[in-house]
Amino acid sequence: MRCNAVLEKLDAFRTGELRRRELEEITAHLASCGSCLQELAEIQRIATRARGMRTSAPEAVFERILMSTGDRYAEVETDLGRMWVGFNARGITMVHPRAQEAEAFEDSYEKRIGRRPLRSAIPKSYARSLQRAAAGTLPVDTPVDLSSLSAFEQKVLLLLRRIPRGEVRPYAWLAREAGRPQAVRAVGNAMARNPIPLLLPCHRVVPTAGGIGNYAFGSALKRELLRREEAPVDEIEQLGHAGVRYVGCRSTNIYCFPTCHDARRMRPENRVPLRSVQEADAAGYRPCRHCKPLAVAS
Amino acid sequence: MRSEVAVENADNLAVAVHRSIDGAIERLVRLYQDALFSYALRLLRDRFDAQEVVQDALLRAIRALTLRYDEERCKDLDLRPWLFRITRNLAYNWRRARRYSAEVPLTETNDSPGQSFQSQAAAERMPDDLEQQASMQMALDRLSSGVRELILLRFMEEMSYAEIAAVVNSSESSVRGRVFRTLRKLRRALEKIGVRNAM
Repeated sequence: MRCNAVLEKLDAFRTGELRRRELEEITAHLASCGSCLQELAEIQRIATRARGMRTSAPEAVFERILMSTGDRYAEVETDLGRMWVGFNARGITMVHPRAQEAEAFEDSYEKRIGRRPLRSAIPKSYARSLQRAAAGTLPVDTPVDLSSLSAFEQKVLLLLRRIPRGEVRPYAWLAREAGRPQAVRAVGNAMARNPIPLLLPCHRVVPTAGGIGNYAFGSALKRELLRREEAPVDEIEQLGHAGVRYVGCRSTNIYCFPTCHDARRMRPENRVPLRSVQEADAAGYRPCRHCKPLAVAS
Repeated sequence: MRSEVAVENADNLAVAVHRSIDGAIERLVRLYQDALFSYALRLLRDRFDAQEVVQDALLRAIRALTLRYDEERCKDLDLRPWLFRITRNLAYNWRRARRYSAEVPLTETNDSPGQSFQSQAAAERMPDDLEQQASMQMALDRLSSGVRELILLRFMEEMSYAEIAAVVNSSESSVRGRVFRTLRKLRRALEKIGVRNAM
């Protein structure tokens, strides 16, 4: 074989993409031709340098594709135990304690959301915000997808995000804020059916009559969560027993829900316990603009 | 025996995605995202553009496998060249769209003397492998885009000539000939850059 013919096939020779006979001929040629051998080394050098140009794709590629390809779910470890988390392109769809097996979670997901989820990895930001919520630290607003729920349920559940960490509001407040003050029971049902507990903080809603109330995962867990969020759980219960719904402030003549951050800043000597809106009104107090206690049905 | 199983798994990845088997899409993405991204990045020379193109390509591929193709077609699919081909077409579309909309002249985005100058200046302070990478990129930039991609597929991705022919829709012998001729140009370009950097 002559040099010209060899050179043309040298790169295919390098990777073994030749017929056996050609391979043998070139091997023989290289044994006696120094310049062709040098050429081969040169190609190999270029190949090495080209391989050095490889880069890793940003993690965002993977996460974007995860979220764009249907409904998925993953297991997330939190301070409150392991959870199943369902999500899709629009956001988180469902959070459920890991007590259920994968199969059972898929079943209940399909029943509630209407599509069967695939098990997969989860975007880091989703896992992190659930972990933060379970730890009671400041939440990160994560996109959620509530499209399988009724308009009223969606409205009520999204309103939950307006209750600050460490504070609670009565069901009746939520009903009023949602524009249906009579629908207290419907609000209760929506809370019980909240598909995304922790991230949509239904644990911050308490009975209008006082106390801590129920929770889909048990009232002990509700208490624990509120404590982690630095809500005054014992005080809430004591006030509930005493029939105190609001706290008025002597110096400002404003009244609040007891957990409103304005109420918690009052000096002890200025704090006036109030049992009803009427009582507050009669004593000349105006409702707080932050926690909006007015018109809570008694 | 063991390698047979491995080959079978790789072959069936397209089928696994088609059947929506748990974790199949992740496996597909994890397996190819870096290679596709490297390729798109060298074609488009912009990380953001490359990311967009790769995301789009993978999503289209997944959609095709799960919705458009039947199982027979998935089984016969040669996954790697197919994915590169989708990425390549999207990258060219992307570049063409940018070319018409961009205010900067074509030479700025395409051959970018500014950037070459920058990376040349940076090369003086770079450790060896980074310097080599930079000079390789510069040498590639001197090639026309039609043959540049052949060099990328052949040497950065280490594809066989048959695979490259499938990606660029050409014949194997034509690809071989063009790679051979381009290699010479590339080496001349590398030599020039080497001399310049040494000065």
